[in-house]
This record gives sequence, structure tokens and C-alpha cells, in this order.
Amino acid sequence: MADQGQVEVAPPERVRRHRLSTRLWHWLNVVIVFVMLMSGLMIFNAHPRLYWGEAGANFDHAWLEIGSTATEGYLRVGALRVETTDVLGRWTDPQGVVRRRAFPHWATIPSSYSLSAGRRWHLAFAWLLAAGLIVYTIVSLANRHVQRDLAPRLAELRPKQLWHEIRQHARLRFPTGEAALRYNILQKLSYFGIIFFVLPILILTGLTMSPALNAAWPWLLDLFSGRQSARSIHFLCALLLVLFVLVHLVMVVLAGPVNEIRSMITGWYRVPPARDPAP
Amino acid sequence: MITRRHLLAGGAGLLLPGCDRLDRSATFREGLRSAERLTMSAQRLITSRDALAREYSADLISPTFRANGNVMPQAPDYPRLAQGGFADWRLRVDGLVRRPLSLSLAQI
Repeated sequence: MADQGQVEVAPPERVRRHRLSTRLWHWLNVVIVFVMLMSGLMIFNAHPRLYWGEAGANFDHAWLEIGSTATEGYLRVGALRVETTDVLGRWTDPQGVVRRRAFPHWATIPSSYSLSAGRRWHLAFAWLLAAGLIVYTIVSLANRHVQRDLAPRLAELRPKQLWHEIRQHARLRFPTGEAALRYNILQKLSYFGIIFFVLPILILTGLTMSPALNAAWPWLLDLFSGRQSARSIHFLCALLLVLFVLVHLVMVVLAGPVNEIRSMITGWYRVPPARDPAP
Repeated sequence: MITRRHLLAGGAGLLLPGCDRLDRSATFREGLRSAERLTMSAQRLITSRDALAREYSADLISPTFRANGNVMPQAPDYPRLAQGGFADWRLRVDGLVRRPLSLSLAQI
């Protein structure tokens, strides 16, 4: 025989890829995170400036602000000022009226200005977010999803490994065959980071913005160096969450959205056939 | 009771117009209000009766202090008093007190 290569045992065509707890939590979060982000932007619209430290108001120095002049909208971060007319700061609503608010109608819940409604949605759905996170963490520790699938292994964290994975992803060479049944290191870092850092910090900084919690749990103020720092961190984490969602959606589309989304609904995943080893 | 209409409305809530419609629904608003009560109860649960707001030193007061609300009330007396630096203004303590007082800003 000319070819003395090993006989490759092909992995099964369809496998059970995602647990029920993962799938449930995933789709609940699609709704919850959507509502949290957009109601959060409505709350931000009430005072579209961010500060560091214990306090900050209109006449104090803001490290970030979204504002408007008579003619344009702008975003300023530190000394960097970018014109954002028609998107941020100054935009036209569906009735044709020019509005001088930070985030436009299509980005907020509700779509027209109401700080009270934004807060009601935000603080109501926050319970769902927190409860879901806690239940999911407990269940995923119990069924060892965290330990087996989510936690990065030391070998995967070696810089050469990481760089290899980043390059492969940049070239859109996604894992196939056996490797497609596990989360790669970039996924692990993202999911682990969101679940155990970004979401908890969002919740804790959110609590720090409650005057009642400032009295009950003053250690929150110490943890985040003041209410306004907590508010800034809250928005930075929200930005990380938005970036995560965007990258996630792009990756799902690039990895084969029908297969991916179906596996997140039914749990069954069609394994991409192993490609020939890269030269 | 959750009807099919409620479920459909919930599904439509994924879209922004759906969220606005939900915001106007009496049932949904009641749901949000009950979450508010849950928040209130939870806060009361963890806050001791003598928990106080944190205090800060005088040097942390903002150089330009922002008043929250109306800075020039339209009451007839206010502009006149403001012009005089409130020298003519008095804080009256009366009613069911043993010793009624009339204090000026300097005295306070």
C-alpha cells in the first residue's frame, strides 16, 4: 500500500454540544442584556457625563461626555473630541424633531426620554440578570461545566499558544473535527471573563450607585473609590459587554450561523469535518 | 394569568417598538412596579436602622456647587432677598415649640 497513514476515526456527525442550562441562560440573556444595555443608555441620557472619584456634577471635570452645540453633536473622551452629529449628542427623532440627547431613540428603552421608565426597566431586569447569573454559576459548578469547559488550562495560556489561536481566528480558520467540540482559549477567556468579571462588576458597581446601598454597604464605595468612579467603571464594563456581543455575533456568523444557532437551541451540533493539517 | 397575547407581546418585546408597547401596557407596568417593591424590600432587609450616609470632609466640596433643581425660584420675596445676600431673611421656628425662634443666616 502506498499510503501508510493512520486510519483516522471520524468523530460522530452530530453531537450534544450545549447543556440545557447553558442554552436556557443564553437565550434569557439575549433578552435581559438587550434590555439592560438599552435602558442603561436611557439612564445615561439624563446626565451624559462621567467622572472619577467620589462626586461629580455639571461644573466638575468629566473624563467623558456626549454633548451638543447649536449645530453639532460630539463625543469627548479626555482631550479627544469627535463630531458625532446624527448619531450621538444631536439627532433627529422619527417625528422629525431635532433632539439634543446623548443616545438616539433607536438605542434606548424607552425610545423617547423618560429617566423614570428607564430606571424601572433597568432595576427590574437587573434582578433577572443577577438571579440568572447566580443560578447559572451554581449549576455550572455543580455539573462541572465551569471546571471542564470554561476554565482555561495552563497549557492554553502560554503566549505562543495564545498567539497561534489569535492568528488562526484572524485568518478565519476555525477549529474543526474534534477540536470544534471544545471551547478554544479565546472563547474560554471571553466567556470566563464575562461571567466571572464583567457581569459581577456591572452588578456591584450598579449597587454602588444606590444611595441606600451606600449607607448599608459602604465597603462598595471603598472598593470602587467612590460613586462616580463606580459609575465610570459601570459604563466601561457595559462597553466591554457590547464589544463581547458584537464579536460573538460576528464569530457565530463566520462559524456557520445555522449550525451554531441550532445547537444553542436544540443542543445538537453538526461537527465540522476535520480539514487537512495546515502546512 | 399569562395569555397567548402576553407571550406574543413578550416575544415582540425583542424589538424596540415592542418595548415601547410593553412600556405602555398596564400589566407590564404592574410587573415593573412589583420589581420595584422587591428592590425596596431587599434594601430594607440588608440596611440596619442606624446605617448612615457616608460623610466627607469640607475640602471635597465642589468649587462650583451645582444646585439640584431651581436656582432662581419665582416666589415674590426670593429675588429681593437674594440681592441683599439674604441678610434680611429669617428662619422661623414656631408652632408647637416652647421657645419660638427667628434666626438670621449669620446666626445659623
